[in-house]
Amino acid sequence: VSAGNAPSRRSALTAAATILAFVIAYMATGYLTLDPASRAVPLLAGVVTVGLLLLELMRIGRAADSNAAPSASRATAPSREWRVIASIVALVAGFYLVGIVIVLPLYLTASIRLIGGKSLRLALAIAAATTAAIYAAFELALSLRLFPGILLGG
Amino acid sequence: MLTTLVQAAGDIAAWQTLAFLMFGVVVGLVFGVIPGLGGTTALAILLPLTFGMDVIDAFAMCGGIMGAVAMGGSISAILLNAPGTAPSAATCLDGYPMAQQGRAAEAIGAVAMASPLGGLFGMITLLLVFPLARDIVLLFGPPEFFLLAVFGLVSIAVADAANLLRGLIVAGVGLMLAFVGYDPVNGGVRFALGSDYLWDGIPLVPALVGLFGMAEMIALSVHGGSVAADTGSARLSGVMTGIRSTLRHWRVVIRGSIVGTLIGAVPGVGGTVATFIAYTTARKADPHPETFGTGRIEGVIAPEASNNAKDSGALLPTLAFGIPGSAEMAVFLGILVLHGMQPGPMMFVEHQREIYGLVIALTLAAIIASVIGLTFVRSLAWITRVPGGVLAPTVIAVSLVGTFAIDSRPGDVVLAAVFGVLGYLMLRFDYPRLPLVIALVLGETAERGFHQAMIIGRGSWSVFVQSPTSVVLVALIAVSLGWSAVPMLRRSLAARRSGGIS
Repeated sequence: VSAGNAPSRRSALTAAATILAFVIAYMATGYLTLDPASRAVPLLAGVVTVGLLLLELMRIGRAADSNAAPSASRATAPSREWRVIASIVALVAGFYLVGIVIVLPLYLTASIRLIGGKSLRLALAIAAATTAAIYAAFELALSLRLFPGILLGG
Repeated sequence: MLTTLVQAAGDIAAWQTLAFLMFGVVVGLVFGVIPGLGGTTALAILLPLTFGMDVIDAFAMCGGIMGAVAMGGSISAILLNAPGTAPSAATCLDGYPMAQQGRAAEAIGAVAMASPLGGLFGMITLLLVFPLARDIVLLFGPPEFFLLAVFGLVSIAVADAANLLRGLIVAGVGLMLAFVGYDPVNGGVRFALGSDYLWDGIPLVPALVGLFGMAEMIALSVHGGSVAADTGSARLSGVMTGIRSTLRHWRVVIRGSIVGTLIGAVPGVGGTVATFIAYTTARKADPHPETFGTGRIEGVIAPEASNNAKDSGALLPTLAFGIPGSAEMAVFLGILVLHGMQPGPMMFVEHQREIYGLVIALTLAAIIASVIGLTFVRSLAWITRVPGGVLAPTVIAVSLVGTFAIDSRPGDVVLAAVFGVLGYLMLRFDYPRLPLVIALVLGETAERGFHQAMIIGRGSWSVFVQSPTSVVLVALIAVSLGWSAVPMLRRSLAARRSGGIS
């Protein structure tokens, strides 16, 4: 196995094994908590999926022997990837805690400045304009109340 | 019939009715463009407004919304890979790669031509089959619904022959996720993890916004650049090329329209399945199916023709039986009742003129929306040149706010974010996202159909091959699986014989 294929194969294996773990946990939950009629179709789907996943794992294993790992992942910068995902987690947490109107400009400014690498002035301008447009469209024009966050009465 | 049709056209041509139609078109375009909102929300918000209106004016406004929302949804699907409406998700598959290649205007041109053509086809078909509506809808019972769901799922999962196994795995996982929430047999709650939010299952629109719009924006943030990979070559012209391509691929338009009208007419299946099956049909009929997903114009034309044709199809069960073919139609049903109309076979006798008016409004709306879309295509295509560092967080934020606006549930925002990360991981690990969407749409239909069919058949599986419609559907499923599996097995055997592994 070439060195170049090893990470790709490991990624493919990790992905398939994670899905397999999810499916097994799902089936175990269904088996333990549901009556036979309710779990019949979900378990049927689970059994078929486990079979398919075993085939996929065999395929990955065979590909390892033949030096031709199945496609697994795009080249990415892990630190940047984690920063983007962390920013979305922070946005959702902020949305839930303090509401859209407060978290939106903060998220936009931080993302555009820190992840996008743009100037602070541009980040602030876009954050202000987007928040104003969203407030005008949803709260004023459509009368749809924007979530104020559970800490502020939501 | 012709006299009534002319009278209905005269009703719609009145200036006041046209004004309501135009208003509906603008609202439909705006609600279509914003990911998460869509025609259902627009109709629901404007429902009380129709109360004091004349029936024809109300129908013109609703027709304007329903006819235009598809165009709006496709614009954001092409430019941002964030489908404004669920059925527009299929347009992402080749529309977004076209935008990445700097051919956004060409893709929007194709949408602008294919949408009204699909709408026109749907209208003509609807007018022709109105007298047969009852017989067509009655062809589908529980066994047929189950088989149709399986067929929809299989045809999408095997669409990517190179990734067949992963497509089927994703379909299986998608089905398992579709079973979250109320059990259609016993009414108990399953797999809800103790959360009230999941009692009604995983809602489709937040999942779609996450899987397509957010996932792609996360990828854009991670990789940097802009939507159009080479902004220097991003062409803001090409609208006419898109229009000409649509006319040249008239067979794709007709195939997509037929699929849209037929699937749209099946209650509970809806437009999302119609557009994806239209896409798969176009792909399978093409001599180079492997190039779909890389920016083929046919991959935009087929779902777009289907997207507008499906509205006319969905009117059949809504008006004939009061069974809405989609969420949009369910809200429209409320508008019918609000105006004192009782859906049923007598609708076609008692309110023929109003129904024809609605169908004409739907088609006119698609044409007007296309003209408006084309007028602004150059400014819209600029979006593909905006740096990802600015565009991605803005789209993610607007998508999440739009998702919240659907039902004002914070849980929708969390779900969209979860599916956004999931969609990104699927992109990263090369797992197709389409089968997951279709499984989420069809899971409940499949399970309910299965249980009802087994009750009808008293536990015997022969219930699935008792009617001619069932037999046709079973054959279609077998052909779909065989079409992809046999060449794969043949390649695998050939590779094993030559000492390698496929």
